[in-house]
Amino acid sequence: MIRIKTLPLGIIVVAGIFGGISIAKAVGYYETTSSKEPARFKTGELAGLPNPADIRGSYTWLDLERVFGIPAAESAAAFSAPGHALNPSDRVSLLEEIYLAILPKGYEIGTGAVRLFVSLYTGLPLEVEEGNVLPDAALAFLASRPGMDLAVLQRYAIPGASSVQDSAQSAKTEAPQAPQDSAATQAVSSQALAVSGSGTETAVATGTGSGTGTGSGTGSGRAVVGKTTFGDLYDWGLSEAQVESVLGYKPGPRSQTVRDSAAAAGKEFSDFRTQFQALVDQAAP
Amino acid sequence: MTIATKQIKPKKATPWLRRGIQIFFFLLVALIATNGALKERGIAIFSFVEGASLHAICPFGGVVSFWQLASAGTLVKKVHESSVALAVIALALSVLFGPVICGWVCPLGSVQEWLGSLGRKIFKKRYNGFVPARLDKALRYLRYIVLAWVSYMTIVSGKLIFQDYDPYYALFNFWTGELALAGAAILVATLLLSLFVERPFCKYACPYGAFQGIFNLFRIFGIKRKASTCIDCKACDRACPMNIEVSTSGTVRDHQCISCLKCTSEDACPVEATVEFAAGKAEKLGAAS
Repeated sequence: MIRIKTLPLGIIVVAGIFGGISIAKAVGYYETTSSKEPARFKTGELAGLPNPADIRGSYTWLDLERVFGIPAAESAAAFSAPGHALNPSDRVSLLEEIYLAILPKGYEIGTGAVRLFVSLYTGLPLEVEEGNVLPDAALAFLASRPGMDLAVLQRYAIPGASSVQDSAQSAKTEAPQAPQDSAATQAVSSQALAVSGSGTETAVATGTGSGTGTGSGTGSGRAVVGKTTFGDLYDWGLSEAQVESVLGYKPGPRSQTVRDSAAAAGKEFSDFRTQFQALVDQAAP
Repeated sequence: MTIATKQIKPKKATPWLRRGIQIFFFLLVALIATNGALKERGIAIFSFVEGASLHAICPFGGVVSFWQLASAGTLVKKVHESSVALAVIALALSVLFGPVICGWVCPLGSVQEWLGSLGRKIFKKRYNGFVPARLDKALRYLRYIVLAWVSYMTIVSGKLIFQDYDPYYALFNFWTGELALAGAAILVATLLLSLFVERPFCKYACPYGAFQGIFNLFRIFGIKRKASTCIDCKACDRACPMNIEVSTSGTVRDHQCISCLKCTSEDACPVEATVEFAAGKAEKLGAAS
């Protein structure tokens, strides 16, 4: 028979917690902060490259420079707001707070916008979250890069802001030099950007090189986008077996989006999107 | 049998011990979370304690990340390795002692308890007895629905879905601008209800409390009542913050017990070695004493 009184139990609880933490630290499993190393694309020609979708709010502009090769000082300046000059060592999570009062309702400049910015800069694919826009200076910075499609950039302008073309022109006058490309940027010869802002999905290719973007067949009006659920795929004529063969695992419930399912399985939606789109196009009447 | 013939226990030796530990963890969590939030803003931080996000030091993040960790080897967004480590530590403590994390460590539980002390002063014996028994019994299973919903949504979305509704997150982030309206509303409701009901969020809505409570069914150490020396005074029932009827139990297996030891012979029970926290069969308790 073992009895435990208040004092020993208190000691065991406190010692158990701190002892456990010490053991976890000793075996190297007690990180309380992000490693600042985003997940990498696992498959396809982008395998091994950093995934902008995994950029966290705790990243600083310097982290982005180190990982994606985007000059920290320029990108921090491009996201600075009037009265809020950003330093390269600032976390990107600051943006949400800064832009909250500035932007019209329904639009956001935060970590999602930084992911978008990185995606546009590097050409690495990204599923863009609805409502994300970029500051004028960031668009101008991107527009100054060779081969950038201004029409694409214009989609991410803050409503009522000056046109990207004007911003780009003024940016070129002020800062004519193009920034150094990173390994990640150089490795991507084209941009395939899936846009889900308005619900009418369009994949665009804004090539900086050969321009082999993964255009989606939207002719049928059945575009596989971030919001597409397994139910949508079935309604568009795909069988559960087809879906499972693409995923490589059993699909979730009808109401689950393919993107959420991919994220839960630790995979990229972009890994499946093209294959699903091809099957949907084939099945289209 | 009268009290006089029983072994009347000596004066409480450790009345402030649990409260002291609760205050310690409350301050520690507040300091770490504040430090973490200030660090995010690039403001000078306290150097004597590591700054981390509240998610990094909450074991529940480790619990809801379990599926993703097992199936894909990754963690839910905003959850760090430390959450998993803390979840494992809490799990080990729960198997041994039941939800001691709830009763001794959780800052939100502590805050509710402190407000409850005020409510007890205001309402005296009526405190913690406002909810009709049948309704109360049914509502106590609500937290399992919350647990199932949070777990499912986290698995499906890969995001820390509970953050926007979590009063614990709201408690330590009300000043950061990251506060969701729902979380703030639930926090305010929890604090107000604490004046009438002891630990309302723990009882009816906490998903982590629900998870921890499952371990009461098979924990190694538990609350045991020795019927042969019990004088049936119901002091243990009155002391229990979770309204468990200890006086009718041999071994308390109620899923709501938080292992606070308030009902034991060290605290509320007036007879020595009658209600104790122990491993073994209930009736044998105190046989050697």
